[in-house]
Amino acid sequence: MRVLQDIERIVPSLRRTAHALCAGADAEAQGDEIVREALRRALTMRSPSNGVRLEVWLTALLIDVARAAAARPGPGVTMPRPEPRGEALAERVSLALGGLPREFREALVVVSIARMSYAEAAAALGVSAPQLVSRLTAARDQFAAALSGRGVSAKGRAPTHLRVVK
Amino acid sequence: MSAARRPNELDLHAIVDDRLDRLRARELEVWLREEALLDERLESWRRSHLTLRAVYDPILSEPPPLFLSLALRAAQPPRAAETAPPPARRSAASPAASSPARFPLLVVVVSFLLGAASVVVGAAIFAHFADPARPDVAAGVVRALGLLARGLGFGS
Repeated sequence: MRVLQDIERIVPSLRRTAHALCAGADAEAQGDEIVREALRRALTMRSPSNGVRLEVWLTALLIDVARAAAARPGPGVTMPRPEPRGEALAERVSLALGGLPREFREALVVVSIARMSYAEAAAALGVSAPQLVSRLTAARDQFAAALSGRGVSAKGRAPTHLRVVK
Repeated sequence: MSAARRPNELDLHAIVDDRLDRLRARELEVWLREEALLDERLESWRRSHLTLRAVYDPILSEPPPLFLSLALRAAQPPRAAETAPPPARRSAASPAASSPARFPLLVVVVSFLLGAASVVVGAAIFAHFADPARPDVAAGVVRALGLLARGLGFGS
């Protein structure tokens, strides 16, 4: 019974992660749907006993479900619909986040929004720690550029040689 | 990045005393511009990080949609048999558990009384028409009806 209660306590946090993972499209409906599917899978499995935080375990399931949903044809999880120009901040953020390549968005969401440690984030995404860091770098550069309305810079990283453009 | 060395202590003095050699001066200029760019980049990361949280954190205080709670409630925990519910939970659960139980009980009692009343009324009518010669039967039934009504709180 305790595991169920623990899971129930994590649901709001899972929804936050899921809505961010589904950013750009119909985030709320799709986000809740992938949470439902992740919970369904979780309840058929033994909860982690090897010291993995329950939320990290559930987030890893959530990531799998989101990837599977994005791979299916149909209303795409990752494809942001060009919506009427969003004045609202939330909409601009959603479009900017949804416009990132999936692996960059995942890294940014689990670290920045879900507040996982770098080790947990790498585990949840199934990548190495250095991979996580480089994805996070690219994600932060591209997201900041998209949010500020600037185009994504050519390589998405700070120039290594000095040509001040402005 | 940082092809140029950061200024050391002597460099700082040389800048103030205007005796920096030209090569080193150019190096330091590059270093400063790199620093400025790094600073700008870091600031943009920090700003967008805070914006992300500001937009998504409010979801934490939303009540989850009913279908998610139901999905959990309907499910059996993976090892339900091994773990007994903690005793602290009982007091919290009991008011919620007893109030749905009380309602059906009330329904049963009321419908039983209504059923009993209609049987008595039916018997009275039957007795009246079946044997008009014995009004005492009907009168007895009416009296019983009155008692029943008083018992229910309707009678005078």
